[in-house]
Amino acid sequence: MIIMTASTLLIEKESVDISLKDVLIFAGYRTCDKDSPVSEEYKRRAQDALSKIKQVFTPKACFIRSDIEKRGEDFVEILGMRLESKPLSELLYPCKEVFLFAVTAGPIVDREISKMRFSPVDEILYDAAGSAAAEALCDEAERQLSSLAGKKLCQRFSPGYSGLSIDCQADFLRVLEAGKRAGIYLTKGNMMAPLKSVTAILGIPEKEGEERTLY
Amino acid sequence: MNILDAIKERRLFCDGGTGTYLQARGLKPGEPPDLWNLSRPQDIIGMHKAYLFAGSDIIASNTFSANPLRFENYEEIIAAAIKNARTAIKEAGKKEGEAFVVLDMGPSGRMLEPLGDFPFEEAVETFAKIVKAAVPYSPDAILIETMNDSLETKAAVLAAKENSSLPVFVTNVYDENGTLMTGASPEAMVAMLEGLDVDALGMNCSLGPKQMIPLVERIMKITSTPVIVNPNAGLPRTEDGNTVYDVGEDEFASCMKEMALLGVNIMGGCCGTTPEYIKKEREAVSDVPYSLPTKKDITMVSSFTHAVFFGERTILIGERINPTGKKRFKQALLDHDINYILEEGLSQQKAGADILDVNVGLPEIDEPSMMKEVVSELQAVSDLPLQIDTGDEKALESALRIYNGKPMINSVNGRKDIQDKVFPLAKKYGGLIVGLTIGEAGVPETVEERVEIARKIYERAAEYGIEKKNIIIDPLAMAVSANDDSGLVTLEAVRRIHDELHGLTSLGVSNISFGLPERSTLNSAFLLMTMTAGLSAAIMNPFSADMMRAFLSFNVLSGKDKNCAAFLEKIGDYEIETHEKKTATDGKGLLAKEEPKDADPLSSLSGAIEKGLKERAADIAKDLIKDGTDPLLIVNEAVIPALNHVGEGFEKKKLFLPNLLMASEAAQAAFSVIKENMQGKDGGLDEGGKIVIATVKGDVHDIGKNIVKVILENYGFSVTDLGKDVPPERVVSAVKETGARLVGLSALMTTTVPAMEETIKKLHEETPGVKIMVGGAVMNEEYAAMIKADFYGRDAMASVRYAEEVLR
Repeated sequence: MIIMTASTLLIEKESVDISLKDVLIFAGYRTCDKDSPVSEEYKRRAQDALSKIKQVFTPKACFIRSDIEKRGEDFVEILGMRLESKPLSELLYPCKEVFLFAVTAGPIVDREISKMRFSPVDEILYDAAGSAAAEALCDEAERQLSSLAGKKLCQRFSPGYSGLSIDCQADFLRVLEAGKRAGIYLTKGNMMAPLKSVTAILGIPEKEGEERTLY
Repeated sequence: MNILDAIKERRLFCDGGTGTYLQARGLKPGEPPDLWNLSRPQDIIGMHKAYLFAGSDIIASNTFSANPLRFENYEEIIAAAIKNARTAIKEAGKKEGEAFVVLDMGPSGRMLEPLGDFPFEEAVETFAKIVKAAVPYSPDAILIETMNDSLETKAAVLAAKENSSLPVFVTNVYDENGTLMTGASPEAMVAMLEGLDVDALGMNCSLGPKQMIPLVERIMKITSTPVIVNPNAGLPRTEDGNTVYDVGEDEFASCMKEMALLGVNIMGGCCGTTPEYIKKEREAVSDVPYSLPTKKDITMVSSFTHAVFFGERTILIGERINPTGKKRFKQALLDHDINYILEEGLSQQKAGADILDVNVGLPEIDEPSMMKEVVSELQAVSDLPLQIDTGDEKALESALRIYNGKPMINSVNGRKDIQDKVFPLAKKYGGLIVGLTIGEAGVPETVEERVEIARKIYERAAEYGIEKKNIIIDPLAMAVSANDDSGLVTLEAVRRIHDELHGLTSLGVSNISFGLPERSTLNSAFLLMTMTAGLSAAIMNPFSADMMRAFLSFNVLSGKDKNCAAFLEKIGDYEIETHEKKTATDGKGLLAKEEPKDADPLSSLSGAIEKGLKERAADIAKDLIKDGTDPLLIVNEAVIPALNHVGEGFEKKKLFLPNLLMASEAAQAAFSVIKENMQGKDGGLDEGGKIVIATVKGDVHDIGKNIVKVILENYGFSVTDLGKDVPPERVVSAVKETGARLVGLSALMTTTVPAMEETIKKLHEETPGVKIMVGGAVMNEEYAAMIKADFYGRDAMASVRYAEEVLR
């Protein structure tokens, strides 16, 4: 059995690719309809939000690699945590090991969103840009961890997905030493602060090419 | 010899990393090293001894996370940890005064409000418990370390100082951008920590020594306090799944020698460093001469992001957060309309203020609690330093306590009773104190008397241990309409305090023109004269175009605006608008291009609102009012139909939420023009009824709620917004106060639905008959019915429809 320690994952700001398209999608503008009468004005403001968030976000990440200690049809046990979710167990079927990771876009992003409270359109757009940043950070973390493992990984899976209770968040952050390593803390309501933070599991398939996706 | 005496004489060395050392002895991931104080004391003592043998003078107790939030038996852990450190010192054969034990205090593990949900005073309480647990075991000092939030740092320092008389050392974590995670620059931290009177300050963790050098240089330039530096062994890299650091012992040591040459007083290591690093470090710096930092005569205040320095150019203090003579502002205070106050702050920042004065004194309100709330909310949205302006010492202390930086304090004067109240608070919390030249007998008429009062204020402050650099004298501008000489007296006082006492000055410039017409003309002229006389800070209205033109011009012409940058950036805002220019810029909206010139202005307004062009909508509304159109007609024929049209489009899913919101913004822009022109007239806008809305306790997401609020307001409802994380009692009391018959509650997370249920229950019990609508990501119709809400609002428009049903 390999037990390794939690580690900091260095993410260079420049390597994080946040797209305007993602911002628009997170803002609820699913189709980006060309014919929409406000789309140009709206895109301009979305672009402003994105530029600001790109300027202020402070990416931090950490991860830990671990064996899957036990598994059943509808649960897995990792680092002493029992994670109950049938889809997760199925997703990790080809894996003996996993990465857990946490990323955050940092607290300044929260402040920038909060500053926009007098302008709801911008508040939505800034919030969306923050979400897009967190998403892009996950992509970058996944890219680095995949290269560390030397193979493609299973689709990422977060607390709160498909039956996995959000209550495991505290344990996730603890084993990741996420407070110390990435400045991610938990509120009493089990929400992460900074808001734009994500934790997730990535299965490492035993054999290359066996990675699974959820659906 | 105690540790502070030792620092005066020689460079002291801390220990290095703990994690690496203990993991090599079997510490598991996620297992807190703190527990080993009890379960494996010999390993902990062994680690301390290894560092002592390597040359460490300061041993940090193994208590990084030994706080009451994590461990019920934190007291036992702390006691054991300090004893282990003492035992190690004894076993290593160190004599009294040769090696020291510091109580190590890391972050609480919770994020403080407003970024998280940990209240400031609870943080203070948490750290206080640690300090109280440690004091009986007599550590030599308290080391507050690895702090990445300035406000949490302040909470820890206050706890240390309020519960012990031990020296306090503080090291913060800076990232690659040279700021704390929550935004503070090294200068901001020096300002705050020197204000709090800590005994040593500096940095640890996150960066390697090389990355720290430029930051240490910045600190050394401005600090008068001993500096402490504990870097990581470089930056972390992943090797075979383990974290390794990229700087070896020799490279580390040579960087630390540079630090010693810069004047660092206490040095050690952090993550990745081992006894070998400390040994090499100590050897490398042994021939570098040692001295304490020189006393710097630098005046600065700070916010949670940056410091503002006095003396280089005149600092602009925005005076608009003040109810004096402002009906609308008074009303906002009475109505508890915090948003109005915050907007006043943000727009002054936009206009170019360096610092915001905050005065919320009204006889009818509880000033201490209002002051605390406004300061706390303001520093969540604005990164400008604040000037706490109050005559109420409770209000002053409540603001100073939670202020995230070093503020200005407005004010003391020549009266002893006031000094005796304000100086002790300023000494404890830090601050730049405004000293008004008012004596026991009021404002003296002569220059000599005012300068004399200034002198006495300096002297009295010194008795309290407050240095002259932390006093700024306000020699008072008095109305020139009442006394022909008052301009001259003030000017001469500014000049003499500047030239003879080498002191700082500030002035509420606009008082000079009281009682005269064309005040801004006089104010701007007087501003130029006082700046020429050496004024350090002007308290003024940054929305006065005349004064801003004068201010910007002075800085350019006196060589204080590098490359004319501020002038070029800002002067456009104050351009005198000619008729031709206005017409030329009118085409900037999208609509203007498409629209025939002779279109009916009412339908143009509708069009502008539907397309979300707010400037355009406001302009058309202005023109309509100017042409004499009835305001109510504008509302009924243009604004409401446009909103309805967009609302319907949204309900039919033809338009997206942002379309709806942009239309709302444009409608509000038109509304505010119309409202300005309706004051005093009968038959105002239809008051659609009162609604209280809130995001429930435990939930800090409030975007959804904000959206609903805006849309409701657009439909004429009067909305009291209680914000986020609102306890049930507060909702109930707001309903009672406002007499609202409808309440909107929002929750995003499943975990906060119980809080929503509790709020509904309380409302049903205490305010029967009040209708409750709920919304948010986790809600649906069934859920809403289950927790006994009256209505589930699928989206903002659904809430509007329900409000119309209930209230109209």
